[in-house]
Amino acid sequence: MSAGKALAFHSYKGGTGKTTIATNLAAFYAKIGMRVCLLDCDLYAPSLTTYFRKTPESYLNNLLAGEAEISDILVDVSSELGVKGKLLLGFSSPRKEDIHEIEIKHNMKWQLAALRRFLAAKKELFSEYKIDYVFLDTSPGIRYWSVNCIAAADFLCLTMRINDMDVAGTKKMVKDVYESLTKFGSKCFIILNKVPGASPIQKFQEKANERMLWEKDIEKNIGMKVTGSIPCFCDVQFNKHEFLSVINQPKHGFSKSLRAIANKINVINQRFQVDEE
Amino acid sequence: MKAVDVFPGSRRLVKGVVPSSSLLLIGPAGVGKTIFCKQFLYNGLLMGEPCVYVTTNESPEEIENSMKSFSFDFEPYKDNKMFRVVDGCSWKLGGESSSEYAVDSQHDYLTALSIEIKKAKQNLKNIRLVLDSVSELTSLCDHDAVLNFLQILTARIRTEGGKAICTVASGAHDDHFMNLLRLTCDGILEMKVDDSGKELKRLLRIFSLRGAKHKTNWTPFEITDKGIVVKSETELRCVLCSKLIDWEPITKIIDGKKYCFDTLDCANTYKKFKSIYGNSFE
Repeated sequence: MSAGKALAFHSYKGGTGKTTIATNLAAFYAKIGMRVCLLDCDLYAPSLTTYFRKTPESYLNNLLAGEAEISDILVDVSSELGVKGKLLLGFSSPRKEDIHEIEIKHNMKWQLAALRRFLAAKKELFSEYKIDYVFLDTSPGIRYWSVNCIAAADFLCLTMRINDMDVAGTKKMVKDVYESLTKFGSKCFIILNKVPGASPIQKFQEKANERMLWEKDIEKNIGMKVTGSIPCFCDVQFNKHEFLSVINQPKHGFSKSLRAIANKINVINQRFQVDEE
Repeated sequence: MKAVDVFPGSRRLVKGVVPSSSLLLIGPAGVGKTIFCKQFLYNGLLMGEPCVYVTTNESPEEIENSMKSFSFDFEPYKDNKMFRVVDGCSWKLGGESSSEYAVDSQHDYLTALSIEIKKAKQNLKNIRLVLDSVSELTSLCDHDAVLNFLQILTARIRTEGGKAICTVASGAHDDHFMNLLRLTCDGILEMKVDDSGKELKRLLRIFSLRGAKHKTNWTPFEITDKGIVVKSETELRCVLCSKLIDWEPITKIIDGKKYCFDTLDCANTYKKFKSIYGNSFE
């Protein structure tokens, strides 16, 4: 059995940068030679088809419905990105009928059968495709499929901004949901996104020691470790079509922040595997 | 990209890695030995391993047609010379062989076959080889010479880190020959047909496999349009992911009820879902 791990990228609110972080981390790991699979599990608001400009033959929705195998939905983008490792993508359908179906049409029996197919597919990615990391890019909040993803994952990457609304909601979500998963071995950490620090305006530029102070404050408030902070970069934020900065702009401050986070996740993974042994 | 069986059913029947070895596949005519061998080679090609098919009773064209009928798309591998056929059959049919590795007469047949195999193996590493069939060889050459030929062939495959399967028809040879033949290989696979029920049932078992933990029971298999599919003799499935559990299940008692899982990871994940959804997650 492969020692691969599943990471869910989750948040309390939308717009925290889950997809941007998940896609760039996935691409970075593939770039350094790892085997990564990124699944768009935001079935209610899919975005990877637009991000990668792909129209696959089958979607994750087909797999959940029992109409497709995991091999049918994967798209290998390794060679077009020129990465040393492997990057496989699984897309969710952006068709409004498919989104509507997941949201409303199916009953609990169907959802449970779909969940079993999803878990079997995740397992196959490790056993058959020898994937090191399966990234589950989830929808925000406590919705059926976002909860399924975080329960299916080994690591929960909680992305958040530092405004009051996000902090209060995240704190409640951690208490209500995350704590029932950590007692069975899930590891959770926070990635702070769009934090001050990269502003051209002098008064918004934060020094490293100042950043550490409010990282500590968030850790104390939420009760979870902060693995990294990503400053808010206007050019990333307002890009008309943002696309894999870690590949296209490896020297960009955003890419550097992502690399630091990727290294920390690898360390967490190594410790996790030692604990398992 | 996707991992495949080393030989049909290997992941179900062998625990862990299948060692590099030479296997003897014993079974009656028509049970599926030749398809099994073709699938073994095709799986090797999918895994990037070069393959040599030594045939004594099918021409290269017949092999190609049969592989196509099972959707084994070997054409690209033929073009890049990863798949090579040593033709020990066409001379009997009186025609020219389409293979560049061909024996052209019965005269000193085993020597000629050895030379062609050596040529076909040239510049290839970690090869998979099939010899189909030993029984045909014994009809052309004397038994001691065939045994000697096989001893050398399997010893070379072993030292080169390759994998080989030699087929032999059950019931066609005396016990003395069969016992000596069994000794030449690292493992024995057996096939048989059970026609005691309403429908004919094909069965496979690993009698022995040096260096690996394996099941020894007769396991049913079917010949489908995609080749041989080895089935599970039990229907025990993981409560979480529904995968058939081939080896010992992981059993856990959760809320006073006993559950069987495929892996420890499945058991832990099940507990997570149960803690979130309660009894509605069954």
